[in-house]
Amino acid sequence: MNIDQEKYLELMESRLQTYFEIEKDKMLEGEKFNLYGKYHMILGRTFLSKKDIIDKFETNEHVMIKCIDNLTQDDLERYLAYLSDLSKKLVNLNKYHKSTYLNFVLVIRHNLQCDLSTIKKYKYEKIFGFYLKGFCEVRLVVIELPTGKVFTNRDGKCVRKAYMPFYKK
Amino acid sequence: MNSLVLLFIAVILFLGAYIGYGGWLVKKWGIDSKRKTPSETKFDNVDYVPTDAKVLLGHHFSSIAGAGPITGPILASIFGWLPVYLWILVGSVFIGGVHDFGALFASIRHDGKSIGEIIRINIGRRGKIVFNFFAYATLILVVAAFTSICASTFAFDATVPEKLIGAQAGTASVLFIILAVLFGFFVYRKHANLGIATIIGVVLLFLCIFVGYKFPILKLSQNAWNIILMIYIAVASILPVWILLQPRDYLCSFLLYAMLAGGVIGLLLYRPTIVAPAYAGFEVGGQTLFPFLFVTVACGAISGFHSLVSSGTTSKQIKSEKDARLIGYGSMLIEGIVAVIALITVCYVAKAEGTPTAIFAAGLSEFMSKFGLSVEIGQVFVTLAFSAFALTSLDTATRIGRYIFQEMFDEASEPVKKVFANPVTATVITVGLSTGIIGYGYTKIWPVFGAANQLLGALALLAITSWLANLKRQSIMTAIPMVFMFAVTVAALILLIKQYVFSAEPNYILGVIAIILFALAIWIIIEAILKATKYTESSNVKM
Repeated sequence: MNIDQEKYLELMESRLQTYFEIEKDKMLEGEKFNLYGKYHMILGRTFLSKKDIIDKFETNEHVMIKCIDNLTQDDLERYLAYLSDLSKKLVNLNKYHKSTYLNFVLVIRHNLQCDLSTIKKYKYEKIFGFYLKGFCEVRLVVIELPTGKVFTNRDGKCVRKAYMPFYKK
Repeated sequence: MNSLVLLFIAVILFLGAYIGYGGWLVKKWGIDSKRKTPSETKFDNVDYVPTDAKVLLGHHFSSIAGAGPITGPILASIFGWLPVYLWILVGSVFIGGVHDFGALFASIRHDGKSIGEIIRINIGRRGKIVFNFFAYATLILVVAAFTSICASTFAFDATVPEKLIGAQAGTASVLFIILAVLFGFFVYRKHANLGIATIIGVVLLFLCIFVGYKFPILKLSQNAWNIILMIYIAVASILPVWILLQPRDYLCSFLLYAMLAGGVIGLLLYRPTIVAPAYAGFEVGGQTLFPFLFVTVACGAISGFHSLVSSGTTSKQIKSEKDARLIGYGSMLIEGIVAVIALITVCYVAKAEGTPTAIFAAGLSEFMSKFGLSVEIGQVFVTLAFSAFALTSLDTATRIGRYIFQEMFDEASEPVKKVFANPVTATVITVGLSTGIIGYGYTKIWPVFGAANQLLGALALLAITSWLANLKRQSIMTAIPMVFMFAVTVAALILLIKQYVFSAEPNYILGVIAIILFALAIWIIIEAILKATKYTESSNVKM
């Protein structure tokens, strides 16, 4: 069953709200997103009390969902250039940082007008201090609503199911 | 005598104790299955998560099971197998099990606070500083003892070139560490499916054993291994935990399960006969049965670190108070079984020689040969599994030591703090201090470490006893073990001081460490008693 952008946003909000802090109509580096979610997890071991942390690490995940009518090749390339700037803004590099994932989701009302290989071949990763300070990775997800198809880059494959435009039966 | 008799008596006795004595403790302590636990009242999906009892039993057991229950019984077997066996049975049922179960229960009733924090409540701020010094000295001993055990296990003796087990296990261990880093990289960075990655990881783990066995290229001396291991633990303690330790510990758990399953099946098929003497005398090798038996067999009967390291996380995940018996008491009894198996491996030969690891590996691999595993490969496998646990204990001890060292300088002036509260400085000093005593070898370090570890257990029992007494509940079941453990540890430290400082061949460094531990222990006991009296008078007690 195909759904429209509004219903898709409702669906994603219900899916993400358990784990993410959700904000609607969020502005990030000059770009407005219909739905933005932030997940921050700290794992570690303690000794005597909760304050006595002997080791810990942080995992961050940001979800940015943007609904647009069409996606041309020029639009796509502009978004991809924007993503590298955005990663600098969203990665909070500290000594406990392990990973930051940016899930960039474009929800297209009409059929795609861009080269699919650009989506599939897109890769953005940044390694900080030979992994000692963790890494950052962008997962690109493009959803073509009329067909219900989900296109991702290689790193986005692992989250593909989470952004499917279908209700669970 | 067939050793299976020892194993069956232990299993039957532990089952009976679990149902009978464990059930009695449940009644006397007022364990309430309907009462909400911290995992429910403080649920945050991070630390406080209700977890199935069977899953939590696995987590808890793998946390408390280290190299201790194997090393202790093997070292203590010089007194004969009977006293060691009896101490494992009595200690596990009436002391260690009660200690672990009580610590877990007290932690549940204190909103998931660890027993360390409950001790801290009982000993106050000044006591805490003393306690930190005490814990730090203990940790230095842990690092030195376990490094020494691992190094002597991996050492290649050029005078006996045909004996390759150390080089084989050392090579396999290094390959295992490389494998663990690659495993973590593929799971975290390449999004490898965890199930498939685990299957491949476990297959490769066994391939490491085979390669180590076939190509034992690391033929290094004990001193060389001491240096390599010291560098390794220093690096592993500073590296982000997810790069090396997390994947290594994950793969390591499969080694533990494989070793336990293989050991038990092999033992049942082999049915070894006990040939070692049941009782070798009260004084053997310059050490007396009391108190040294009770500090040498630590983790197999009671261990203070069980309450410190594991109750902090387990109590936050327990779903129902009724599960506390299975997880707290049951895990200790299973560890008692591991200790009995370790004892059998040393007693089915007339005279066991080598390190505890080598003895344990030789015994278990011989048993496992009954179902077709080559003795040589089995030895590499068991040695690798044992050393992997020892390395885990080493890393944890170094990290805790580093943390305590940094904490000591929290309130120092900024320039001093900048230097000494730095993780690298703290790690180097902690490892460096251990290096200073590593040359004495694990056999000399172990009794001091054992005494310090058991003293932590006695302190935990003190905290539980005063809490139970304050609740007007029966506390005799923790009070008697507490008195016994204080007597054992204080007596052991006095005898060690006498042995190290006033003997014909003094060992001043270990002697000074024993004196420091003794003085700090007495200070902590006084602080704890003073504080416990006030605590008892207070009405603000967690029910």
